[in-house]
Amino acid sequence: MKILGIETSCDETAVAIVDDSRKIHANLVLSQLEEHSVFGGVVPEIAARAHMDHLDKLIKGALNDSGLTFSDLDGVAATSGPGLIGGVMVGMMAGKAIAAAHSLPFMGINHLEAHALTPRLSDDVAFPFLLLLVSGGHTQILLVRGVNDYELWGTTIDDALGECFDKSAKLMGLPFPGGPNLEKAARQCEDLEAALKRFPLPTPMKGRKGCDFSFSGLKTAVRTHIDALPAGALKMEDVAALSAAFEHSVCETVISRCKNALEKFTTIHNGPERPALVVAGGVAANTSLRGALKNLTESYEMSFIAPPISLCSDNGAMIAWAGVERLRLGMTDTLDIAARPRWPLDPNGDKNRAAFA
Amino acid sequence: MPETPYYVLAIDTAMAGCSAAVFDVNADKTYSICKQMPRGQAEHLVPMVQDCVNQAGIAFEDIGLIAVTVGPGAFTGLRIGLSTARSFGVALDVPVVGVTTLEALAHDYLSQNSLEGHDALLVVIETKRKDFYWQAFGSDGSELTEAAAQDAGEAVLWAKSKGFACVMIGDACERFTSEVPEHDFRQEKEYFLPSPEVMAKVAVSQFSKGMARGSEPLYLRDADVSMSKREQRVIEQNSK
Repeated sequence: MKILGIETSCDETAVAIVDDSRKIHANLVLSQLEEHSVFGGVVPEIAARAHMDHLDKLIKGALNDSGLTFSDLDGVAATSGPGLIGGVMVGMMAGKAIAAAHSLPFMGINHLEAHALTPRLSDDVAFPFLLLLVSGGHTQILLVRGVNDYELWGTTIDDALGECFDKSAKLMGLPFPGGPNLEKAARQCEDLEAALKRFPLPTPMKGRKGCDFSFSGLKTAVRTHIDALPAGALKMEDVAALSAAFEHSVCETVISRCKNALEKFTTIHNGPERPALVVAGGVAANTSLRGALKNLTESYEMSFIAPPISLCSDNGAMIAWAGVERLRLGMTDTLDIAARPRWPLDPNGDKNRAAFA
Repeated sequence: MPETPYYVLAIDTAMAGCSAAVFDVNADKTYSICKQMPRGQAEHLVPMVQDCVNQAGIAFEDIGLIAVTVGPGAFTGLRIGLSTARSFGVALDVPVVGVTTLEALAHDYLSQNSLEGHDALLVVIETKRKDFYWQAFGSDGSELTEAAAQDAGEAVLWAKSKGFACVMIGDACERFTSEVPEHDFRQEKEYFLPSPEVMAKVAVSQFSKGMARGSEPLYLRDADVSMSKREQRVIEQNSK
């Protein structure tokens, strides 16, 4: 079963072909970094125009790369939300047209579900597993019971973690995209202890019940430190120290929230297999966070799965894979499916979170 | 000369409607569905295309050319049609011809009416802002001005400078008149939405002359971006 996957919900135009044996036949990602860098963030209309300009070439490219033709495909999957709706429309309409032209089943994919199912593509992880989804738009802890079967345990009550990375990096004068550049700056810090003393930062929600996150206070604290530094150009060593302190706070916060989730997960999960904590989403590329999560899972005798970075950030392979998972279960969509700017994975999320906390 | 296709698929979602048609070139017959639809084109368009193909009694492989409105119009709307048309083009390996909303409306009017003593046809399309998308055409459909996004006064000035008497059509006529009531254009009702049948015919004619427009979007306006007002601090260049 070979599925074409199309992703256009943010600032990556991506097309891939994946089959049900988990083989990736083609995986093309075109990042719009340059288009948005002068604005210091993703501009929705610029993103939508760029998707329009490049998508058909990427579709042809994916077929060329794989040596396949449309008649080799068994279905088409395209992100239908959540995300920047102008971009989502471009990819979703492309998917619908291809499906109609070749009488193929169409799957309108929830972008978050694609992230959630990625560890099954990369590592064949069995259900149920615990998922930490951290990206520019989302910060969630979910119990993944199966395809289309999620229980939300925690989410951010304000900024997403990736957003907090990007905004803090911007405050520090680091170029767009903020997250990776902040991580690079943090690596230049030679004395973490000194950095933590010099730039004390809060660890929001640490020690509280439940799994919810909050990051706006952390961003504000970064701003306060930056504003207190002498006027004029910032010293790179200060930026490095503040970046390291920031990453430290982030890890402390995330670990505290995940710890509560692991405690609960171990009480409800009594299968024979060693269960997994999976991290997915763009922020899952952060090395310090991966290290901290790995340490945490070891003390709970859980395995830690982090898909390769190329499959953590937005890509078409995860969309195609979600298409494989859904088509195998007969979960196809009609071609009148609407794009959804908001699309929670767990429709009862608020209730489930409240029950937890 | 490119070979003339037998069946043309035409698609429009660039203005406040959603339209699809299959045009049978040899029989000069059109199977079309046109709906007024300010929103929701992404849901309706592809099923409408399927219905037209079924009505025409053909298969998708029989389509030899695709015509689509490239704008000017609503940005998200025109991309819904364009992305659909281009993907049908890739999937069926057939060319995609762009038709502007302005020329689609102009050709629709001129195929049914003469300018009757007037010199030019002005097409004015809603921008949902202060200005208008507009373009002037001659009685034979030739373009007298470039497509532009400008205030109403610019169109009036152009007509005056030429000494032209004009007929005006398009979905922004009424707002145009309320903004510059002094104009003496003869305003025609209807012709608010591109006709997919006209689009298909324009596309075939241009394509067979080797003069077809590509499927690049015609936005006529840059993306709105607001730069952050807060000045970003800079990092010293030579510091460690």
